[in-house]
Amino acid sequence: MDVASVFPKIKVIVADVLAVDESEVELKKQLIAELGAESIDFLDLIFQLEREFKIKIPRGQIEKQARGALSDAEFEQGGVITEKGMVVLKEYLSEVPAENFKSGLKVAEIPTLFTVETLCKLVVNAHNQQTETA
Amino acid sequence: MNFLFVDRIFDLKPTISTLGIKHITPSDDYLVHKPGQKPSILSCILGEAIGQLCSWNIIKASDFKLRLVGGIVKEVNIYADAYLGESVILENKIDVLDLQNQVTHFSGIARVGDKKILEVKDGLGPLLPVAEFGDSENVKQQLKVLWRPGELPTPCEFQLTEETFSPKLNPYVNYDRIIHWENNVSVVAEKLISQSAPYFADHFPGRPVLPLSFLLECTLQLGYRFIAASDKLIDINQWQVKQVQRIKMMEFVEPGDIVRTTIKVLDKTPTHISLNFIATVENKRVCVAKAFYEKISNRGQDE
Repeated sequence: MDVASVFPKIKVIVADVLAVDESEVELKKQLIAELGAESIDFLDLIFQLEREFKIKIPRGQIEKQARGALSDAEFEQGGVITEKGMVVLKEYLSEVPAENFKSGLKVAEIPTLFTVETLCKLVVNAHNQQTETA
Repeated sequence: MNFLFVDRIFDLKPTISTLGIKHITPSDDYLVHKPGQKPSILSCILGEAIGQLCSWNIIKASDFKLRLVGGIVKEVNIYADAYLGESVILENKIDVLDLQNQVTHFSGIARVGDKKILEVKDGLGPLLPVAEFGDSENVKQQLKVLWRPGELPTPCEFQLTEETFSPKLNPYVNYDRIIHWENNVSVVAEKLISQSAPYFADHFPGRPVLPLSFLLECTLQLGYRFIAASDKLIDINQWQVKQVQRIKMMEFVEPGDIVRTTIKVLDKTPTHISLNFIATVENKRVCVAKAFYEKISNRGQDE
């Protein structure tokens, strides 16, 4: 399973949840800024992805995976992502253009960075993890 | 006036299903009296009752830690009215209850006897801490009173007594001011959210937030008036909401907020109108939905 193989199904889900035309859903499109997603839509998106791909995506999974070996305090201070945190986040969200990572970014604002490809990677990672533990 | 709409729970299988009842009586505040018909309860209140029934199940399943508040409903179908003197059976099925991720997926139906009144499809909601919205001990006590297993009552033929024909109509189910009105195109209205609104006593004691169902009902009612004015009709009851789709509540609306709602015509034929609703607070979207109205010719008693 890879990004390319999950994208067709994810495209359908994103288009349905965000009520946009499938042709608008491209890998590089930002979910919030370009496809109009609202915070509540992420609940729906994650639910639909879990159901479609029969995976579990625990809440806060992206932050957790991005953080890697960093402790909470190393990753964020008072809700704002540290410089170290920003480095690992950029690495993890490699599909997001570098200019989108603004200094002073808050943990709560991480979803503003997400693209359609981020969702694809999330599904692939969750699926691989599930396969490894099975 | 309160904002709790499940009168009794007959069966509650935690994480699976719930069966309850809502009696429609003159003591209900959310009644509407359409000409030539018995008073009936507002549709959104039955939708709210299904949501509350589901929430009771989740509260029990999570050992009084989590409850359903707001969320998304993909589709609500409105089939008929439920009238004063009737007992509405409420059924709720929980498709998914993920306590770890704090999310539920559910559906529900309201019926009178075998007649479907309203159906909620594809509800998806976040689960939030019970303690954030009130005292958990009070919630435990409320459920203890509500949950009394037993047999559902059998529907019966009835006549209303003279006194019950004049229910008080709730003046709150309305917007407070119209900002813009263009027949057949759009309307913009504002609702001032006052701490003194009586529904805040139940919704919720620990954190007052405007019930989504209430905001939706106000908007549906405004939609009726807008359609009637656009068609230069005197009787707004020539149209009936048949379906509401893609209801999403993005943010809580709290006392002190001003909700500004824009209604736009999406499509109009002589017999159908679809309207788009967008409610905002300080330019931030708080709730959206699409409603489908159908024209009813010589509409009589819905039996």
